[in-house]
Amino acid sequence: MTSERSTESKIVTLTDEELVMESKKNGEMFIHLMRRYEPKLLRYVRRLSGLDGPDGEDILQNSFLKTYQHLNDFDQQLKFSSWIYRITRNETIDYLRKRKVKTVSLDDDGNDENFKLAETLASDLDVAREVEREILGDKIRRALTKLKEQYRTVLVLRYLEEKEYLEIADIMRLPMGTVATMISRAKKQLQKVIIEMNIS
Amino acid sequence: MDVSQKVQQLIKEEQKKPLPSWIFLVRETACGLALVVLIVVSSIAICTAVFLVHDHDWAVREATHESYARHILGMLPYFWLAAIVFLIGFVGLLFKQMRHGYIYRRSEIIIGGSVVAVIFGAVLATFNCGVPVEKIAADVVPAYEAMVERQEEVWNRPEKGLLSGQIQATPESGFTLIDRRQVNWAVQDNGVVWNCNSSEQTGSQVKLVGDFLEDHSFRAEEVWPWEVVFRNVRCERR
Repeated sequence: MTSERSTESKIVTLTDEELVMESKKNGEMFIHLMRRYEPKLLRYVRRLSGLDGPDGEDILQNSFLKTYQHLNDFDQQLKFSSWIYRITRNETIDYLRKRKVKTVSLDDDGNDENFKLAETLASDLDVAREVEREILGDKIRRALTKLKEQYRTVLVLRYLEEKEYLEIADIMRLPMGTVATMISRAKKQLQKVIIEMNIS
Repeated sequence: MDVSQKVQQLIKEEQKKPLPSWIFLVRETACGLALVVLIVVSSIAICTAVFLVHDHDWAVREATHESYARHILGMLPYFWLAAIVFLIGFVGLLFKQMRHGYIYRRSEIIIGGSVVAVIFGAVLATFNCGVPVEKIAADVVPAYEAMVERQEEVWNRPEKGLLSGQIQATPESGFTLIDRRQVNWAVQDNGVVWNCNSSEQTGSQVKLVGDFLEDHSFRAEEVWPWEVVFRNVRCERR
């Protein structure tokens, strides 16, 4: 028990990159890496595609398997989180493409995600009052589903996953300058969609 | 069972292992090599385009009295220009597939690739590499001569007053000439101007500016040695 606890506490201190090295030597260490990322990536898949439950888990399972098989392709100059987010995004897109899903439906799961989204985006959309922000959060969530996949992804990564521009560039395989431009265009497009939905 | 446990179980049951490093190394190296090949081929295309433009004989414009704009539009080596655009475009696509290719904007990759190809192309041009490449392209590429204005074809348009070939015989008046298509011509040379040390010797390769008279008859106004290109009011050897 003591030895198990000390192994666990040792694993907790390892960085992702160190866990990758350990997983290459001993495949059983990979589960620790997966456990670190399982909840965040399930949430990420849901934010990108609206899929959760068995569908979301299928996508995540494929992502983890691909990550494991490509461990020797991991570039040490990259953050592991950027790399696994990239793989998960690609798997999500492939999954949606195979199911020929063009628009996604983001169900309201009752958490404060809508409010968080409204908080971060509402100032750009020029909304002042707190009450309006709560309603707007729900509308923003619905408007997101109408955006192109790249625009939706970049807004989710920036405002919900709270990734830095460099991380977003690594996840989406885009130049940094393009990320900034894309975020700006995505916000404008979101604003346009919201106006068309007769919100503001 | 959560996703992590399912995946771990799957890895164990199916004895999955990470793909070996060499696969990714081979992929990256292959992309890199393909890029180098594309840049080299682009350089060769640039060198050949430069050769064709540099080799252009402005005497043709003197003879046909075309406007400069029309003449330039007609003489540009579109086949090679299209090849360069296609190859550099492909460089851009391939570079983006490489591990760190996404860091650069597509425009930066295209400009960078173009600059490298132009520099190498200029170096190849100083060694006249365009000459053999152009000959090989004429032999190998179907309909190449329809796409590129080759000097042999330019100077084989008697109906436009341009004829070239080898002087066969020099009777008392005029001379006979066999053209590139092995057709014999009777050439009248009254008052003809012999430019750039061209001569009426049998066996000389010449190009003529004049008028088409009738079946295989031509009246020459000016004669030039074949190997000389008229450029900047000077006779220059090819």
